[in-house]
Amino acid sequence: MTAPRLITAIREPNPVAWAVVGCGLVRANPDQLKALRQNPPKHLAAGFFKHADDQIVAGVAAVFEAVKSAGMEETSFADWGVVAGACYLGRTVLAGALDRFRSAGAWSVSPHLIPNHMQHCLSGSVSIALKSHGLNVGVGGGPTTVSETFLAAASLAGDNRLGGLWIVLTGHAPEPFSQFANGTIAAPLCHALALAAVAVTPSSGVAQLRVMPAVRTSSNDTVEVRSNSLRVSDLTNSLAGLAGQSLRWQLDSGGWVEWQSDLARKETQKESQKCTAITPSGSPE
Amino acid sequence: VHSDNTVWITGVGACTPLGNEYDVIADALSAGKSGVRPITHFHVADHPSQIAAQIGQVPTPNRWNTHSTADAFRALDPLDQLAHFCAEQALRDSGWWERRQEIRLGIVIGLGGEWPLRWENDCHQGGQRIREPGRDTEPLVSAVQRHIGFAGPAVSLSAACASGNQALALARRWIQNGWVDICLAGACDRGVTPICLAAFGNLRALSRRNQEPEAASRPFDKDRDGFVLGEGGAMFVLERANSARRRCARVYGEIAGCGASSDAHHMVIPSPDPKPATRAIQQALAEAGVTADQLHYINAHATGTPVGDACETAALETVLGDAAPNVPVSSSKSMTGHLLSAAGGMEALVCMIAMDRGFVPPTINLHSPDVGSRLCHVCNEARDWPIRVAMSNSFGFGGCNTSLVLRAV
Repeated sequence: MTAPRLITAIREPNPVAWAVVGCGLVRANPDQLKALRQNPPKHLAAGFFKHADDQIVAGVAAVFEAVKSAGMEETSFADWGVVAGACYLGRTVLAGALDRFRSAGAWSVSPHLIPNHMQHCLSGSVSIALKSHGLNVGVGGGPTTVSETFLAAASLAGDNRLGGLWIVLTGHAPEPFSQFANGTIAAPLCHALALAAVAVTPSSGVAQLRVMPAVRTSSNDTVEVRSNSLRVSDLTNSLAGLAGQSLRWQLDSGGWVEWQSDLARKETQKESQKCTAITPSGSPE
Repeated sequence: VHSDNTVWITGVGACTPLGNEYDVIADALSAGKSGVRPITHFHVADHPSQIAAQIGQVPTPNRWNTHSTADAFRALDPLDQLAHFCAEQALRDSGWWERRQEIRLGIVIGLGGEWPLRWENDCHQGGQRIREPGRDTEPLVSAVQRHIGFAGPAVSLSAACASGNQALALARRWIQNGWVDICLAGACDRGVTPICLAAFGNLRALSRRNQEPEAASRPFDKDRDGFVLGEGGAMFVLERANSARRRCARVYGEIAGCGASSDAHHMVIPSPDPKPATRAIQQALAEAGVTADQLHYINAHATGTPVGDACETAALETVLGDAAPNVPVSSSKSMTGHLLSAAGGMEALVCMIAMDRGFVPPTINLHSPDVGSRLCHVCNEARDWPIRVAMSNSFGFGGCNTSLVLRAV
């Protein structure tokens, strides 16, 4: 019996493109996160963030900043989906829980740990905050979270069951408990990026997000080993205040993600298609 | 006649509380065997729930015996062992193992708590990895890729208890998009840990029927008192139907339809409004091109919590309408416990076995079904039943609702 022929019909995927109709950033230190936690966006209950992880506070705040900057306060997101990647979510809270468990046993473990500090919690919180009934899914969790999230989001492009897609990314830089060379602990800054993405149409504006999934003919190709994975802070630091420019980042598993603005149409670019950042006072950076 | 976008499952790798081989698992399901036992591998005296459906030691995959050492495998975190085993088994079972370098191979794994489980395991061994972020360098999905030896797209997903279904849906989409030829997809979880048991226990979500472990998981039964924690994994190989047909592969079933929605209600409590869950089920049916009365079996999410069971019953009764008394429904969690993130993978496997063997697995411990339910419960004993189209529901924290329709080939 002869071996069946290879099934690989080489098809290079096309980049997946969305129009970005809203973009929000948060870069907050612990004090600023505390203020955000105590003052949730006006549509949410006062205790919405009571048990939430810091990254969820930042992620939801970034979403509402995108909503505000795009003038979408009255928009219904009922048929939107949420794809959200948080990096090392729950590290600080679980560290404390493990300490208490060792000293005080099972009854010391908070029942809020799993509902608020696991990888599904960011997407779930965003869907609740926006009353979005499309799918919500958490992605990644480790160093390649950003790449995984864009890849997962790209997979959903063209799903006509979704009116739009929120792509939300969060992470700390540096990671909590990171030490400087002299042994002191580095103060973490929590970063969050929220993108409101819809299908590209002739009238959908000038800002686009394009994702090219990994292009390989077979696994014999060399895998590019990145010394540093793409981080949320790379995106937030690059996109803050950006207008009328294009940026491209390599993804960990191959391929790339690109933020593209049409320079020729810069003059007519709407505020919603710039990335605006907030501090707890609400002032754009 | 199958369209070019038809995706079939051609490989299975599983490690479950009912066994690690397809036939063993099938026999256990057919016999209505419970995998729930007292927890013995850590101290549970101060835990409200002290029972679980556990998997014991994960078998060493062949590759680890030939290219590395069994000791190295044993040194991996428990979740890593599980994922490596299931992924390799699935790829070998499909017949693609020897040719994995020649194809565009992707991987999607549903993992609910990859890093927390690693940190917790390290902590119980006296480590402080959670406070040493520099050690957290390689995600599990990448480690599986590296050890198996392929380099396609790789993603881990978490939709809480719906993670497995989401992983299968995403992998199917990659194949349909033409991004990969073959995709490993499924879900793994090792939630039987001190912290997880305590957290769910203190949430009052777990059964405290510690003296009767095998009777503790009682979905749809009025005497239920919460779910039973489980662990395990199931990975599958997905490929286009025309590829599988060409190589005369063994086919476990077609992933005919996937649906997903969100409650947007509460992080823990399912929506009392059945519409969101109904929407996910209807999406899956529409994609599969079948109506509710054409379903031959429904594997319910049904964990054994009063509120969850009631919400799913309402959703199923809404979708099934007049067909509700005729479509057999059961919850295999009565036997396997709740595998958390891996539940969707496990229950997809249950549906494939049901289609293959021609029986409906029972809901064991179901002696007093909820009053007023119009569902056709299969209580305590398996029922011989030809099954061509099966549905598996998975609903999770964060309001994630997913539904999968599988079709016999």
